[in-house]
Amino acid sequence: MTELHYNTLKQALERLPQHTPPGSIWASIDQVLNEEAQLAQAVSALPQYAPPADIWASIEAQLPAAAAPQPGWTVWTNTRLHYAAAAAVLLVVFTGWWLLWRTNTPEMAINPVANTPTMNTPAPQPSTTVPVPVPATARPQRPAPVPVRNPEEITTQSIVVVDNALLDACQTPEDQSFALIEQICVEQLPVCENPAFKALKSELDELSRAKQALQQALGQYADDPELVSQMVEIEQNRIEIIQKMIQLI
Amino acid sequence: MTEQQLILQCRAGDRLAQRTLYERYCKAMYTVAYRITSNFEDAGEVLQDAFLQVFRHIGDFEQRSTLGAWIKTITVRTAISHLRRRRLAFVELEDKHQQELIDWGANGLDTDYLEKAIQALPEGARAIFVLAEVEGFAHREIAEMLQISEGTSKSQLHYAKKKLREDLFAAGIIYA
Repeated sequence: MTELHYNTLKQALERLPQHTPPGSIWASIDQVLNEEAQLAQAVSALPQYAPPADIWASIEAQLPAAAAPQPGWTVWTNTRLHYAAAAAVLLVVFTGWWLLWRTNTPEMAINPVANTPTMNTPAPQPSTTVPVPVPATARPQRPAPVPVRNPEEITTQSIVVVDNALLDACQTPEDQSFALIEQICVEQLPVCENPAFKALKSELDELSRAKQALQQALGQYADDPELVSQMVEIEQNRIEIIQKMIQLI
Repeated sequence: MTEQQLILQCRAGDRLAQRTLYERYCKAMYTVAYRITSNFEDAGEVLQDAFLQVFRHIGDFEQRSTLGAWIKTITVRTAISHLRRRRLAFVELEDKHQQELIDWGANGLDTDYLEKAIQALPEGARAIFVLAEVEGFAHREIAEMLQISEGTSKSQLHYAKKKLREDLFAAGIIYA
C-alpha cells in the first residue's frame, strides 16, 4: 500500500474523542456479579446426602479381592493381635517347660540345706511371696519328686496362694455380656456391620482363643502364678472390650 | 492503589476494587467497542460483557502484558463476536485496490468528520481499520481474532482507507 502524508491520518486518529459509557452499565455489571456470587454461595451451601449402606457392599463385591486394601488401623490391630497370640503361646510353652524343669530338680529347688546339688544349674530365684512350710509330698497332682537325702528334715518352698474364687471367675465359660454379643451377631443386627464393632469382636475372639489355651495349661498347673496372672490380664482385656462393644450397641 | 493491588483485590472478589478497575478503563474500552460496532447501544452491551469476562477470568491473567492491553483484547474480541452474531461481512475486493495511491493531504483532518467517516465504513472494513490504525493490532493478530487470512486483513484495510479518503474528499476535508 502506498500512502502520502500518512502522518496527517495518524495525528487525526490520535485526536479522536473518547466516549463515556452510561452509568447504567456498571449497575448492570454489579447486578450480574451479585447474582453470580449469590448463586455460588447457594450452590456451596447445598446439602450432601449419604448413600445407602448397601452401595459400598455392591462396589466391594465387584472389586478384585487383591485390590481391596484393608484400612490401616485394621492391619495394625490384626498385627498386634497376632503378636499377642504368639507371645501368649510362647509364654505357655516356656512356663510349662519351666515347671517340668523345676519338678525334675527337687533337690535344688526344695531342699536348701542340701549342699550337694545334682545338677550344675543355678538355684531358682527366691520368690517375693511369703514362704509357706509344706511337706515335700504335699503336691499330689505333680509327678512324684525324687526322694531327698534327709527325709526327716522339714523343707521350705516358695509357693503362691491362689485365689480360687478369682480362678473360678476366669474359668467361667462365658459371661452374660459376651453371650449377649454373640446372640446379637448371630441375629446379624446392623451394629455387627459397624467397622469399629467388627474390630472389637475380632479382638475379643483372639483373646477368647488365648484364654482357652491358658485354661488348658491351667488344667495341668492350676496353681501356677504366671498362668493365673496371664489369665487375669486376658480376662481384664476381655471385659474392657465387652464394655466398649456394649457402648456401641 | 497500584495495578498489582487492584488485580489482587479483584481476584479476591472485592467489589470496590472491581468498580475501581471499571472506572479506570471503561472510557477507553467503551470507545473501542463503539468504533468497532459503530453503535453506542451495542458498545454498551459489549462493555458489560467484556468487563464481566474480565472479572470472571482475572485469576487467569498471567501479566505477560499490561492489564489495560489484556482488557482491550477481551473488549475487542467481545465486540467482534458481537458483530459476528450479526453476520460480520467483508466487501468483495479485487487485487488492484492495493496498487492505488492514497494521499491524506498536508493540511490536517477534521476529527469529528473523520469519526463519522469511520462509522460510515462497511462493517468488516471498519473493524479492521479500527483494530489496525487506532488500536495498533498487527495483521496477524487481527486475522486470528476475526478468523480471516492476513491477506484479507491487509486488503480490507486498504479498502477502508481508500473509502475514507473518498468520503473526506467528497466532504471537502481533503483537496485533490
